[in-house]
Amino acid sequence: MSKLLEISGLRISFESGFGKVDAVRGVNLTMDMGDAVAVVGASGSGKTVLGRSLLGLVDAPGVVRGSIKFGGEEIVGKSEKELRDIRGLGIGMVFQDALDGLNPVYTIGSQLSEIFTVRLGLSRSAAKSRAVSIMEQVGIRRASERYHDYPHQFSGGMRQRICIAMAIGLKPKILIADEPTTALDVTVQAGILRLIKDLQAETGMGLIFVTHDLAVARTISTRIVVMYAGQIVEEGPTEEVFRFPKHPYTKALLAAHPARVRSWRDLEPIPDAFVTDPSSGETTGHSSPSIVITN
Amino acid sequence: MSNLESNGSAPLLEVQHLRKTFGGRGGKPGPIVAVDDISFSLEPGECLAVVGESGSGKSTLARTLLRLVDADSGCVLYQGKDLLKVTHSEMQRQRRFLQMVFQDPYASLHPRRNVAQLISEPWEVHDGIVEKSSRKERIEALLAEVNLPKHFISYYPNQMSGGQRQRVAIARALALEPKILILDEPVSALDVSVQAQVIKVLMSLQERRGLAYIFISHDLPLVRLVAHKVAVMNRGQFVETGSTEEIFSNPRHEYTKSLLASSPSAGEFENAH
Repeated sequence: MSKLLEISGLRISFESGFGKVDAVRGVNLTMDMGDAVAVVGASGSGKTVLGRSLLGLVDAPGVVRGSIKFGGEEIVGKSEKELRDIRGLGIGMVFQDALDGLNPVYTIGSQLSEIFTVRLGLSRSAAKSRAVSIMEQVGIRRASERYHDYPHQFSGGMRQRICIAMAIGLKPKILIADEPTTALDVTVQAGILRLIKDLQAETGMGLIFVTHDLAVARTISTRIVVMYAGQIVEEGPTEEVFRFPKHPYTKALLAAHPARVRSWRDLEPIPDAFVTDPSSGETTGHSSPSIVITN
Repeated sequence: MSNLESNGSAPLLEVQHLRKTFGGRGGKPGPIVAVDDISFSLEPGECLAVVGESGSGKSTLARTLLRLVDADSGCVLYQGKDLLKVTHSEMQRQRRFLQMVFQDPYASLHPRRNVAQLISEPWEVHDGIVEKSSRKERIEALLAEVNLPKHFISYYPNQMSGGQRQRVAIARALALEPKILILDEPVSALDVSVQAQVIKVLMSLQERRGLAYIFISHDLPLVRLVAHKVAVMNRGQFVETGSTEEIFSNPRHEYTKSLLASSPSAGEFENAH
């Protein structure tokens, strides 16, 4: 039987004014229903574009090569029309900034129920009751009243809950969450992480959670993938990676995390060789002799 | 409150019953109370962390101290002088002693100024602090203090990473030899992996120069590493204050407890090593 998701030899590159930039350089990854995979890496490591490629959201001049199989079906090279059946129904996505995902001039209710009328062909009244029940499911109180409110009438955390509702509304097999809590306060973050975990347990969907924060990754995932400069440098069960990190970059990430040390003196900044250059997406060093790619 | 109040001689900074409301008309207090009866004191070399969620009033507190917004009532005594009562021109002179580092170095640095211009700009505003002839040397010295190499002097913001930009913002805040730095979420816009270098720079600076810090943050694991004392802010008030040790080992207020419980890296994570 085919895997829920099977990525092999994935390469994504962009043609820019500085020349060709390889954002993802040969990634292999598989997952099954119920898996919770955290993709951890710094800005520029390629983790976000990796997530977007699963939905065919890498726009020109980006070029995707390799293979992404969702339930055995090849995603790379699909037309927009073919992708529409996968987006939402097969794979849902939650973005970092909840405002990007919502239209400010329509009510939350109309945006949510639109999913059900357009995608499932439900009647307006059936779509409305579906929308209200999914609002309740993601923890929005007095959902039938708030159905008529606009995005600006919700707090950041509530807006993110609505984006999650939109992403899971069609019961996708995989949920991709790209830094969904980075813009939120810790208390709100805790609520959102719990919600995603509960929803995953309920529906058995696969989860790909993209983050730069190892502490968040540990809370949410059963498996961790560490990305660096477009490649997976380490992969394993979450607890194992935390306890016995193998790759120097993973070790450096852990040593630089404030929750891992007792005093600021013990913090070990990421060596400069590991810091990616914002303009090129490449490391600042011409080569990275300390990095041994193991996979 | 008692543990944050002064003992003996006048502290470097003493804030008493500070209050700021919004929504008032004609100079009258309004219905939205952003800063509600805040009092604290700060000594040289000390780091006070103000923690709380968005909307708790932390940033308004910082702005009120510098008179970037006008307080309704209360005192901000800097070396015994009430900054809320001095004239605008006197306030501008005093501001060199209280500098601010903002959250987002992508927004706080002018994209068309290079590092030399960014760091020397405060000297244009405050005459006579650094002579034109010695400016290049001073900029290089400031860059060295924030662990950036000399050749960064000609860089523009888009040539630097977030961590490097924030270190330039810190160098600029230091240009006027301040006594107090107000750090408004100085690393929360950065990846966790680059926060460490900025924190190390800030903390060694504090040690070397005896600077006083007001460190505004919602990141409790970080606060635990850098602060000497902590004020927990909620709805405009300090609901709990104490030494960092006290707050983390024995939080009393419900709000403090919920903040600590929400932090994803608390608990086993910190003992994992």
